[in-house]
Amino acid sequence: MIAPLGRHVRQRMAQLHRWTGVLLIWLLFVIFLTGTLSFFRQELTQWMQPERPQGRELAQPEAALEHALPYLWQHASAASHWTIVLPGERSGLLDVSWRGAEGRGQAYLHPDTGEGVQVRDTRGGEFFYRFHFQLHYLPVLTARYLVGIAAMMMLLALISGVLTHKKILRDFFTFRWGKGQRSWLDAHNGFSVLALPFHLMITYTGLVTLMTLYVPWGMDKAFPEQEQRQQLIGEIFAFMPSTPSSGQVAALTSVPALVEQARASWQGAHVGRVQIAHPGDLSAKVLVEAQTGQADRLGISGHPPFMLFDGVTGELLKAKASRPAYDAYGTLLGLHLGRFADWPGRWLYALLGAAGCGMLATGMLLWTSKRRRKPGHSRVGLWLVERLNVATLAGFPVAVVALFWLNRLLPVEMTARAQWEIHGLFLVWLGMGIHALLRPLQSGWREQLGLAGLLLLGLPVLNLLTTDRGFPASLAAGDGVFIGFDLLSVLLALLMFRCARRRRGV
Amino acid sequence: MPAKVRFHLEPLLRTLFAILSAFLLTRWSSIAVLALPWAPEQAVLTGMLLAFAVFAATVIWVFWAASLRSACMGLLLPTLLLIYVCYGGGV
Repeated sequence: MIAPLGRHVRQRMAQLHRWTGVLLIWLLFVIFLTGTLSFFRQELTQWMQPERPQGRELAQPEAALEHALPYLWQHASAASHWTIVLPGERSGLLDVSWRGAEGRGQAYLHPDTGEGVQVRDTRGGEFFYRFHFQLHYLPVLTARYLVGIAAMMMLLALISGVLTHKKILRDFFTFRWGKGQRSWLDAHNGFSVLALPFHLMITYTGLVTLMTLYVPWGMDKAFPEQEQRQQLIGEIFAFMPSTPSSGQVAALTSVPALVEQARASWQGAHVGRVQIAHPGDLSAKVLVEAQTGQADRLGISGHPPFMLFDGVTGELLKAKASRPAYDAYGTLLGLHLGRFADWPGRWLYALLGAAGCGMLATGMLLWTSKRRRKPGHSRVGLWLVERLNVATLAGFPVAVVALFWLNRLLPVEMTARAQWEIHGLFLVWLGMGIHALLRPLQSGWREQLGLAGLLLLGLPVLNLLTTDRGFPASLAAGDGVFIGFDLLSVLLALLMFRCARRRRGV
Repeated sequence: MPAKVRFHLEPLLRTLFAILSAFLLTRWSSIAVLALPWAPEQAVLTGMLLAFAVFAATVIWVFWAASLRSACMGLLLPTLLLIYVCYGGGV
């Protein structure tokens, strides 16, 4: 039976908070966790491909073009589309890829020598990034709608959560340790209020990232033709127009000269990506995009500036437009992605994201601990919810750490290796779900949190044994990504052990 | 409807009303922005950027109001206004 609505407005806000919060909270937790990891998307890829040379700030990343272009001419001259991702602080490799009638290809080149570097097959940090808005194994659109509904419920839970409080500041400064439900409430308030502007921002801007999917009506009305909509999107997002090849041979203009021209109009900001369509054809086009993360020169916009050139004459065909609504969109998107942030900024983002995970976890624990005290609630329902809590709040972190283990343990030459890393994550998660259903509640918490801790503590050791980039070596090389990963693993392991010990009688 | 049934149906009715009215107001407002004297692409994007605030505010209002009736009354004026702008030839 649904409880009647409260008479007082604060009661109704509390009810709205409870239900919008609880219904999809497990989904929100995995979205928040993987989204938080996505702030380190490129760093995680670096760790998961230890064959990559250490990323470093390059005075002239554009110089790597002199290796990329000859390579593409030699290996992919028949392809209709080339993409060159230049190296930088967050990626130690020059990444060239191509596609055309004969299929696709990709190669990683050393930025200094131009020699090919073999890296293991993995999705790296890209997996977490994709998962946090389109999940896995589900049709992409279905998953994106599901994530959108969850995000809207989160937004409603945040607003109604604030409105529930009579004295939000006093509640924020209250903490009652070891008092069961009271402590969960105080912890929940702490995590929520401490990072409230971040939670509101990240939820709202998250919805904005997929707004053309979620709220398309104005756009469909004003621009009924697909072409018109694409043109609008092409004003702000770097899109290579899909014009066919002319079949007439014409020499490709000097790409480095176009790159220099683009840099000159971006206050000297570095170029991150160059795409070339129909190289060597009369209809060739060159699309140059700025590298993200140069807030001092480019601001925080989530749409990095780009320039589209004619690939034969070198004429500038299009550049990113700047108008008020475009810029507002870019700013909101940029705030969500956080790509403008330097490394302290990324850590701040991650810390706030972790507070979000804490808010969701404590919210759920508060909900169950309240229901456990009240007689008359469905025992079977509560039993199941408590087990699913274990499987999600402890089991999913175990599965994520298992992905890192698999990344080091699966044989490098294995076929479909990248897919099996991910299948492995979900199999481990399934295993945690079964474990949670079979074990008594407290043992379930203790064992899964303890396992997460052990796996995390083992990661630096595993990395030391399976690669030549163990802690002493990365310390000597000043390799921030590997040092940070090892230290964070140990720190999170201690946190897991602490949680495992505290999960008694609550 | 007997008072007791109503009492227990109220949360369900409010929820359904909140979802439906929030969806419609969001949809209409994201079209009504086209009546603004701006370039269409500027209006369209502004409408989309604000759409989630319209949705959230509508749901909050429906639960904020003391009764379902007053929730309906509160949404009457914005609804009529948006319908007029969307379908009265303004867009």
